[in-house]
Amino acid sequence: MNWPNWCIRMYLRSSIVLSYGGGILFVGLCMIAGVSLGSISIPVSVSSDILWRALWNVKMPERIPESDIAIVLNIRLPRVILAALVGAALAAAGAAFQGLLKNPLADPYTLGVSSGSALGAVVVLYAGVSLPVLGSFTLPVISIITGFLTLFFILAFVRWIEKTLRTETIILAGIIVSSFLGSFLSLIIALTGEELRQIISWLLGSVSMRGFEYAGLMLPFFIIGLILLMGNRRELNALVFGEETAKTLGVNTGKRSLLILTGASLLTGSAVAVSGTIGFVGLVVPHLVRLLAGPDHRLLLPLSVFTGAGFLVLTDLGARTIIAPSELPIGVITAMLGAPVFGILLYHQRRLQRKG
Amino acid sequence: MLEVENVTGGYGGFPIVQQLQFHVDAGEILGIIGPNGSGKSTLLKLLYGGLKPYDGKVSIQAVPLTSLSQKEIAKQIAVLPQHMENTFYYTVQEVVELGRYPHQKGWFGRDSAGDREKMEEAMRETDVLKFASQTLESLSGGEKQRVFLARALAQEPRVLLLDEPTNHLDISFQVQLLDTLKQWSREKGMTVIAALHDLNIAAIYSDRLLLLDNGRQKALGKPSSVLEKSQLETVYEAKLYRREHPSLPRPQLFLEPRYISETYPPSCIEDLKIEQQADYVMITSSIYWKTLSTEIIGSGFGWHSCFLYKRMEEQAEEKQKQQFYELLDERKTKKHETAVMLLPYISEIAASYRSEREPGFAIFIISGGVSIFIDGKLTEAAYTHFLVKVVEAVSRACYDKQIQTKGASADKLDVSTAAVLIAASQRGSLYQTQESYSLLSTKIAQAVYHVVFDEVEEEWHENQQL
Repeated sequence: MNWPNWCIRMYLRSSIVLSYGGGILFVGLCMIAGVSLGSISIPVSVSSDILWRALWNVKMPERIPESDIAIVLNIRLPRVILAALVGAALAAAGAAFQGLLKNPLADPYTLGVSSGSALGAVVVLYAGVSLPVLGSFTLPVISIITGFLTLFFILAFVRWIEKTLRTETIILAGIIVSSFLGSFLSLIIALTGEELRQIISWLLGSVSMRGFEYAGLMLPFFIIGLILLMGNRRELNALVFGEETAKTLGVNTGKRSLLILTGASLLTGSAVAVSGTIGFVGLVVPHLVRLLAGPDHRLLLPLSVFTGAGFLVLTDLGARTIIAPSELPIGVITAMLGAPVFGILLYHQRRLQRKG
Repeated sequence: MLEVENVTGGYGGFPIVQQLQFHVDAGEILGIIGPNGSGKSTLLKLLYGGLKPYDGKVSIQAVPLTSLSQKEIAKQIAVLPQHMENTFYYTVQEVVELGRYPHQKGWFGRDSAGDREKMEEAMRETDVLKFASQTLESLSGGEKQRVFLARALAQEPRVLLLDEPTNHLDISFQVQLLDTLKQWSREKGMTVIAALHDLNIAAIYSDRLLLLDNGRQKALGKPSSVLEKSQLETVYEAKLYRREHPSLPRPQLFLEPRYISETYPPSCIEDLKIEQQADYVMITSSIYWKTLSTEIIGSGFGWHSCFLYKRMEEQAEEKQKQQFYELLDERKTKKHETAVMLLPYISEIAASYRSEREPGFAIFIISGGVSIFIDGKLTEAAYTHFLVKVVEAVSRACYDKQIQTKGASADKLDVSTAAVLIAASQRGSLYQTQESYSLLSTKIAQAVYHVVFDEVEEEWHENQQL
């Protein structure tokens, strides 16, 4: 038996409050680090003072320079919040997809909703359109809408193939749709001229230069999606053992699967719309949490939210500091940082298990 | 308890089971048997609402399943599945906890103290409490099965459905699992419905059996009536033998392969080799004979290739067995292949008779023990018939001799102690009907009569001379 892991699991189980508290603390620390560090370093005491006062809408004292306040609140904070939201959304969606599809290789992009969102965004970039009223929001709004259309199409397609929502069929339908949409993405990339760089960098993903508005745009989808997933966390535990088994345990599998799919797709679609297709977070963060806290979704989902949020804030920090003042694409950093960490954890867990 | 009314159901509009009609009482164990593809699993799915019937209805305690939610059904019916998918490393406790799902309410659905108590009880009853914090992966097949059983039990069901629960389990686990189910059905009044592929297991543990053939209800009733030889042979398309369980009033079935690799000598009777020693006689053969013996060692039916006639000592039975095993070791023969007759003394082979004509048979009489070898195929009924005929012939021969010699002693061949052994090669002509074997038995009885009569005469002469 794996004692350290078992201890952690028992510990986490017996004190849900502690794990939530720890998670929130972790995200908070990551965010403070995120607003403090960068091309211009601001002391943590100053940045946390600024954040604290901003939170309660208290006037800033004279001793804090105006420029620091502007950097923290106007430049870095929106970026950090967006990174946290996107990271949390992708990690939670990944955990839900892996559980629902009973497939450790599933990630938020398995279903193909992200391809729909990406295609919408790339079309906007390629055509250079800007709809009236929406203005600069044209891209994320179109992206969310195309993401939704894709989800509806996939679900209708699965229903058309068979009455029940079988996971194998969902995965296959997702693969069909995402490769079909992916071909259009490739087509646009092949046809494009000057927008190429813009499109590629959007596809690699970024949370920079987005402002609070993007975070605000994503927030409602994030909340609804998260509520849908959290409301089905026990059902997810049952669904991991197969639909038939879940049914015998009393789970209304059709309805619950649909709710989980919708919730995870909302999270994924909105995250892709505001930040592009950031890879790795949705695949690896749930596995990382599972290694530490076990596969019980009642704990896995909230902890994935916290870990994903903190992780993406830290990787974004890396992306903009490693070769400052230039920025690296965040999607590159997630894998660069995440893969070795995951590898080490996996090595430890499997070795301990064999010994145990 | 559970009522199945004229149910037809299947997949994709294609009916797999048709017009099933039965009911199961509380605390009853119903075994569902039938060949692969006969609809056992489909029927179970219809019983827990995993499939909706095309026609007819299933009701539990007079409430149709269609008017219940999946959760309400799960409060009453638990299922032990045949295939167990599991992708991630769940602990035993987490798996068992899922069994409480139908009883938990609300958005949070936290485990109450009652839930924990029920879980612990379920784990204790299935003896998996000691694995509570281990992952499912680290357990053996039988232990995993018990964990899933604990999960089903945590549901506190009235009805437990099992789909081939003994698949991939050792005999010891099979017996353990089914004994547990039997105990629950008796003590908790839990109704158990199990699809079983092992007919003998089904016969022992089921109160009633439902035989499915191609989705149709072929028979329903007590194991002794459902496991009817000719019925099973048509349904399973295999040759079967039915026998009774040695200690239970339940039938057991035996399969017969189509091809038998054993080779037989041209004449099984001539193949018998007789060897006379000072204190024993041994008859050996290159083939196995199915024998019915009235003797203590190897009594009843058995398959033997060696027949030992040994003097009975004035000793305890255990001691005699011991001596017998020592002798076998010395002779390098195996005890399970040897039939033994313990006789008051060992004389020369008093008499023997070998029939030349078809069917071949041989009679050996050695100091009060009568052995009959028949080169033919006998049913068990034929064996008992022959046994009776032979004993009758022996006693008549003794009686007639007594009259002829006017009461002179014939106690050397006392009927009351006469040991009789009937052996048949179980090949060639079949003696199944009374008609076919009565002719042979008359012939044998006559031969036995004459041989015994003559032997008694010889012994009588010997006695006279003394």
